Amino acid sequence: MMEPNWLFVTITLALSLLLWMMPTLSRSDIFFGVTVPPSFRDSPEGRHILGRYRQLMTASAVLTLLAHFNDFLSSSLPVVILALVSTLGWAWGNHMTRPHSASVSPERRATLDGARREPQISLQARIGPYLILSAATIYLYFYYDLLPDSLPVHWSGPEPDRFTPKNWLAVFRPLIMATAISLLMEFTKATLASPNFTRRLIAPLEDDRESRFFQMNLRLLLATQYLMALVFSWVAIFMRGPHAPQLMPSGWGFYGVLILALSLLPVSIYISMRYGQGGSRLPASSHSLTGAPLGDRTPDDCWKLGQFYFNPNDAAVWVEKRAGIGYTLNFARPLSWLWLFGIIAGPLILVRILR
Amino acid sequence: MYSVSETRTIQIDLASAEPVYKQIVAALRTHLVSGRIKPGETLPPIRQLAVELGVHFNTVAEAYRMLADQGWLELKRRRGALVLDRETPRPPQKQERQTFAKRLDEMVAEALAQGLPPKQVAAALARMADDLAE
Repeated sequence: MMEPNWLFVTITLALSLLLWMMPTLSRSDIFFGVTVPPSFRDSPEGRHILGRYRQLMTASAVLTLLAHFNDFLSSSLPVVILALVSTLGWAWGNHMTRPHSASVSPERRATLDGARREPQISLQARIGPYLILSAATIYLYFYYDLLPDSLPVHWSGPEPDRFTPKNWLAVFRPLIMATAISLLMEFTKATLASPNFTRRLIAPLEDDRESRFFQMNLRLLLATQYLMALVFSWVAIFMRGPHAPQLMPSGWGFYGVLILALSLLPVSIYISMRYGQGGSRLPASSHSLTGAPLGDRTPDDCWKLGQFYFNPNDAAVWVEKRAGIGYTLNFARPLSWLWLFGIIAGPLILVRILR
Repeated sequence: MYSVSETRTIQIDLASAEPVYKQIVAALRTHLVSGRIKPGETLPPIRQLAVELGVHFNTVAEAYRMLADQGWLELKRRRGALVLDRETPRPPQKQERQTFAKRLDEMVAEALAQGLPPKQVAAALARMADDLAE
């Protein structure tokens, strides 16, 4: 039996909780990615499918933790294993639910009154992450000469275990990375907020729950940008900066980064449980939509494994997810692949260039 | 009842035998004829309307092109579709009037055959007549 890595345990438990909750976070007429009557979830069949899925998720979480305590798993594997088991469990739930599917409404409506008018995030709030990164850049620029000749680049614990010779690129690399990732997130926010790319189901004037949910998604993305800026600036200043030893006792910088990086996890879990997909768990206002057609305006057949949307006849790039909450890509649109390439290959290419 | 305002929305049925672009044309033309969409206004961009309806861009583009051909819209690159002050076309010939009357007869007969009460059909026709007289 080895000493447990509590970061590993925390991530495994948080992820398991989210996956355990996932089927009940959907809109009431979507169950394991299938359009069903809203009452199906509480029917004996619905409860049976949900129960089996949850047993599977609980068992995989317990096995993952046991394997870790017995030194079988490295720190990155639980995420992969849980995601894989969840995908298989979801595909099974989707398969079991399909015989109970309700017909998706072929009715489609659109307003002719122009783009949605919703509160925008203020410019001051949006430039915050870039101000943080700029401040860190200016600080490092002025104290460049005081930096040690060898800069830490990797930590397996509180103390660094890999170093690189000092040069301009090595000093500013974390801040360049954070800026690039933040710009990619700007692009994501811009396409998500645009009615030319994202389909929303209900007009804000008819039911503001979806609008509130959408605003929360944008704020979460902004919060992630702030977090990235803080984490990378923290590393640049408190863990390898010219005054790091005076500013931060040895090891504290490492734990500070961990706390910062994990701080959004409980917030995300709380928001998922509080809002539900499309704000469906929020209390309905007096003028909420009632008796709307079943479904989320996407055909069931276009959801591969109940999770991945592929519909060449749909112009939308972003649509509501059927697994979990938030938005997912329509993989039949070229822009979706461009985005995916950017989010995966972009940072890798940048690391290669900056090396 | 689906409580979306009827005034400035369009509705299509993907399961209908009628092609979607024709449904979009019919829905938009109803608004244009009724004056709910006025000359000088701009219709939603093709991409936006296609996303909201969950159809391909080309479907909406085809509908806009058809309305442009009929003189209702002017399509401008990157500026959307501008609603034109369309001149009233010349009065229809006798044959066109007869075709219209025949189509109306057929539509009423179809509605009655589907079980719609005659009073309801008559009320709908009277409401349309009132709208036209205004």
